[in-house]
Amino acid sequence: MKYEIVIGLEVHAELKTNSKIFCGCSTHFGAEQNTNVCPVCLGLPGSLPVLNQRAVEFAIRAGLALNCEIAEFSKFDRKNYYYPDLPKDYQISQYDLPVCKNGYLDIEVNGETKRIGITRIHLEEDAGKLVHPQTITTSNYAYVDYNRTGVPLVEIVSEPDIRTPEEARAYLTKLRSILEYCDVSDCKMEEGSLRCDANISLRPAGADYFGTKAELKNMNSFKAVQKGLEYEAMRQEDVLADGGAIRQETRTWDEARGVTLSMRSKEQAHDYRYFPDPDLVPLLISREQVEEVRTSLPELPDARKDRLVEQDGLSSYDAEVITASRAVADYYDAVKKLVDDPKTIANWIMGDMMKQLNTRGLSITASPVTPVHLAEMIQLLNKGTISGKIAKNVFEEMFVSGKKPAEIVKEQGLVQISDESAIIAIVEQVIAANPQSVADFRAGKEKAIGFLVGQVMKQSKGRANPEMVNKLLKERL
Amino acid sequence: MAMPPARLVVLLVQSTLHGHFSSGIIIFIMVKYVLLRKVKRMKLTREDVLNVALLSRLEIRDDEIENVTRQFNDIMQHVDRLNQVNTENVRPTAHALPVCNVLRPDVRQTSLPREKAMANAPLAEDGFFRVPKIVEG
Ligand SMILES: [Zn+2]
Repeated sequence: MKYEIVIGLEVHAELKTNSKIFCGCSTHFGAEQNTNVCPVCLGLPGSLPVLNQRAVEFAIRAGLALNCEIAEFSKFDRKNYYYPDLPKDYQISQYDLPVCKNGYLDIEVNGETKRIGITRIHLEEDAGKLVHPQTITTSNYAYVDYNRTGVPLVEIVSEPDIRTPEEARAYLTKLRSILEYCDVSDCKMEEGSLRCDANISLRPAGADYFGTKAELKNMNSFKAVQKGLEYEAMRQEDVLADGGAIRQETRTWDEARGVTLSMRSKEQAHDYRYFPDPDLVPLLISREQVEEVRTSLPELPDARKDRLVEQDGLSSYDAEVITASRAVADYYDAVKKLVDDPKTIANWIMGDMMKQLNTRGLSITASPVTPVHLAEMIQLLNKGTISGKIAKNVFEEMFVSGKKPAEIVKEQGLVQISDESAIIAIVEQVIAANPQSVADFRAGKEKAIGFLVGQVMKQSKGRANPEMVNKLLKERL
Repeated sequence: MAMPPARLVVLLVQSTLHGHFSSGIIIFIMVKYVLLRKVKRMKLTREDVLNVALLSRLEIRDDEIENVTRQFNDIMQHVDRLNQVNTENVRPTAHALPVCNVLRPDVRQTSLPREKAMANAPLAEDGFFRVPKIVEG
C-alpha cells in the first residue's frame, strides 16, 4: 500500500526580552548556574508572577508576521506535571485562549509554493536545565540549573499540513527567518533558543482520516529534524506493512545511531490538568495596540524576496538565499546602495563571502569585509582594474587583513594587464612553448585552447585580461 | 462557552488555598481532576482517588481512602447542583477578580544571591540543585 506522511510541528522559540516573563531576573544565556533566579521563578511560597509587557508585544509581533488573528481576550493557565526542571511543579502556559491563532506561512519546495497553517501561538515560561554528570547511566543524581526557568517562550503549533520531511525543514527555515526578521528571537538551535518537536503519522494515500501519531523529540538541528522524520516515516511504514499498529508514544531521535527510540513513560504523566492560573489576571489586547505593532513590523522575507526579484532582477533562488537571513539581506542592500550590480553582489555574497564566513564560523555582521569594501571591489572589477580571478584573491586578502581592496591591489601589484602588446608577448611565448596543444587545436580539438589560456594566465600571474587573452590567442592559432 | 459556576467555585477555592497545603487541597485537586476530565457523574471509586493521589504526588494511607472517597463524592454532588444552574447568557469567568492587564515593563531586577536561592535545597553541589536520578519509564 502507498502511504502518505502527515506531519505537524511544535516550535518553541525563546523571546529576546531583557528580563524573564514573570519576574525581573535576567534572561542572559550562559550565566553561572542558579544566579538568575528569584522567589518568583523558583516558585517560592508567597511570590506572585507579573507579566512582562514586552513578551506580550513580541508574541503579537510573531503572530502578525505569521498572519495570525490576535486575541482580544487571552489568559494564562497552569500545566501541571512533575519534573525536576520545573520548580513550581506546574508551567505557566496558555490553554484555550492563546494570544494568536489561525495563521500560516508559505514554503517553497521543488519550485512549488505551499501554504502551511499555523493553529496557534501561545506564551509560556521555559523550564530549567538538567545537567547530567558524565556518567549518566551509573550516576544516581542529576544537577539542576534554574537560570532558564521563566525565560519567555512562544510555542508555535502548525496544522498537520506538512507532507514530507523536506517540507518540515523548509517550514522551520522559513519560520526561523520570519522570527529573526521581526526581531523577537535569536533562534539559535545550538543554544536551545529554538526547539522543535514533531508529530508524525502515516495514512493510506488519499485517506481523509489521520493515522496514530508518534511525537518526536530531541532533534537538535534542522537537518536532524529532517533525518529524524525520514527515519520515523520509514519505521512506521515497516510496522504498518507488517500488519502491525503504531503506538501513540513519544520517541526520541538518537543522532549518533540515526534511529528513533521509544521513551517509555507513565500514561498518567500526560494528564496535565490545565486550569486558569489564579495568580495572573486576563490579558485584554486592544485593536489599537495590534495596529501599532503591525506598523512597526519590518519588511518580511517573502516581501523582501519579491522586491529582489522584481526590482533587482535576481533569480528566485538567489533572492531566496539572500533573504533567508535578515542580516545577509541587510548586507546585500548596503552594498547595492553603493554599486548597482545586483547579480554580481549576490554572487559574491553567496559564494566567497558565505564560504569564508562558514569556515571561520562567523555571522555576516562580524565580516571583516564591510559592505563598503565589497562595493569598492566590485567597482574595481567592473572597471577592469582587476580580473575576476584576481578579485577572488583580493576578497580573501580583505577577509584576512580587513584592508581596502584598492590598497591590496596596489600593494601586491594586482592590476589587470589590458595592454594588448604586453599580452601578445606572453601569448606568442606560450604558443612557441606548446606546439602539441597548438597542433591539437588546429586539428579540431577545441578544448586545447583552454590549456593555452591557462598557461597565459599562469605566466601573467592571473593578471592578464582573460577576454583579451582568448581573442588574441584565437587570432594567432 | 460559559464557564460553569462550578469552575468559578474551584477558582475561588484555589485562590484561598493558594500557598497553603491543607488537607482540603486533596479534595480540591480531585474536584479539578474530575471537572477537567469531564467525567460523567458516576460514583467515584477507590481507583479514581488513587489516580488523583498519584497525579498529585500525595500519599493517602489505606485507612484514609474510604473516607476521602466519600468526601470526594459529597463534593462532587455539590458541584452537580451548581452545574444545574443555567449559564446560557453568562460570560465565561477567567478570573475571580474584575481586573485585567497587570503588566510590568521589561526591566531587569537583581536576582537572589545564589546562597540564598539554594538555602533550602535538600541537596546541592557546585551551585546546582541536586536531584535523584530521573528514570524514564
Ligand atoms: Zn526570577
